[in-house]
Amino acid sequence: MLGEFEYLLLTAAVRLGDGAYGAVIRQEIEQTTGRRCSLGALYTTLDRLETKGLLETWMGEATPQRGGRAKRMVRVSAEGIEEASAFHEAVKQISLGVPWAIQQAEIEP
Amino acid sequence: MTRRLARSLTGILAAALDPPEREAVLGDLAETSQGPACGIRDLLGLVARRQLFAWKSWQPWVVAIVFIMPISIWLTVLSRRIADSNAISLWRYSHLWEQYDLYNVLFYREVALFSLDCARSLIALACFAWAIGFSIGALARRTLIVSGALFCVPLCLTSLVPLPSLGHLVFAPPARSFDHNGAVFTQPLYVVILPALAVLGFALYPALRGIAQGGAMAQARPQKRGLLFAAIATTIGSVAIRNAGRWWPLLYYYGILSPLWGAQLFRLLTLLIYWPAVYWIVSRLRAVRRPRALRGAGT
Repeated sequence: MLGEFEYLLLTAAVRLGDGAYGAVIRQEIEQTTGRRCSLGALYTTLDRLETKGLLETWMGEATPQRGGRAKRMVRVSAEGIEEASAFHEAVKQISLGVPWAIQQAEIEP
Repeated sequence: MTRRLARSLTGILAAALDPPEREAVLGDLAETSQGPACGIRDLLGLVARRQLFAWKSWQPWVVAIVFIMPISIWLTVLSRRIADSNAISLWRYSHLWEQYDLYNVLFYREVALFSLDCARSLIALACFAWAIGFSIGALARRTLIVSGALFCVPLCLTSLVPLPSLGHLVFAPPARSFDHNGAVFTQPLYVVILPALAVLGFALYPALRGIAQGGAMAQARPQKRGLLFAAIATTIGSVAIRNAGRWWPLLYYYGILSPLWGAQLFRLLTLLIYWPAVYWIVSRLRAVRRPRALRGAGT
């Protein structure tokens, strides 16, 4: 079972698609959750997920806005998608009938 | 000024990361254009996590307990011994000279020989400290900051506080005995300042340089790595054997190591202690020549 931050990271990477790398994943998580995402948490979680085989990373191209330094590109593997779906399903199941989930369902058309 | 300081701090912290990760992280920091303080805090967090994670395995503990901490104390003892032995001569030349000596050629010759011997012993100490630092950097690359601190803190502390004597015959480091030279060692210059200078200038500084260079050795060619490690092992081994009698007097008492000390080959091996100085000079010369060659290619 994934952890909360692992799920956030995998989901952000899938949303960003081919353009997913460290800095933009971090930005995506911060914008979505409204919480600060530390570089340490991001890179250690990336390593952990890569070791589990849930994503793969490689060094991408360097750009001038990065001071000519390469990006660490991220791609979620099939196993990663499976694990994230399972986590999402578990959250949905356990949330059935709880007040905040009902309120949410009423707000959304 | 602040920006330059932040840049150097960032560089120091980033050096503790693996090269690909360093590249990606520094790029991310440049891209997100946070303030220098935020960048340093982020980097510090990542480095701390990496260092702590590395200590979850048993290897860094073994390296720290078996190698780093004992060798740090050993280096302090050697530094003090060199400072103390030179202090006696220094005191003699600065206090016991007479006007007559100024007209005596032999006096100048003696002072020159003492100066040479003092320089030789300090160079040997610096070379040995560099070799130790290099091996720590290479052995504990993933835990460089904590391992470096474990090496430097005992080195600095034991240069300021007296070390306890832990027995007489079996294991006898390293209390200093001033019984026969009380006149010299009542003065703070000889008992505190000179040993502290020897430790900081000729042990700590070269060791720190060695740690940084040893940490970067993973990128070197395997042949160069093998050659350096063999030379370092020989240096540390020959110094260890030469000093073993002082630490374990039983070895000295039963004459176990005496044949080895007398052997011609061993005497030659002890000359190896000076090789880091040669290595350092050659590296510096290469570093000076390289930019010149690049400038020449550019014009």
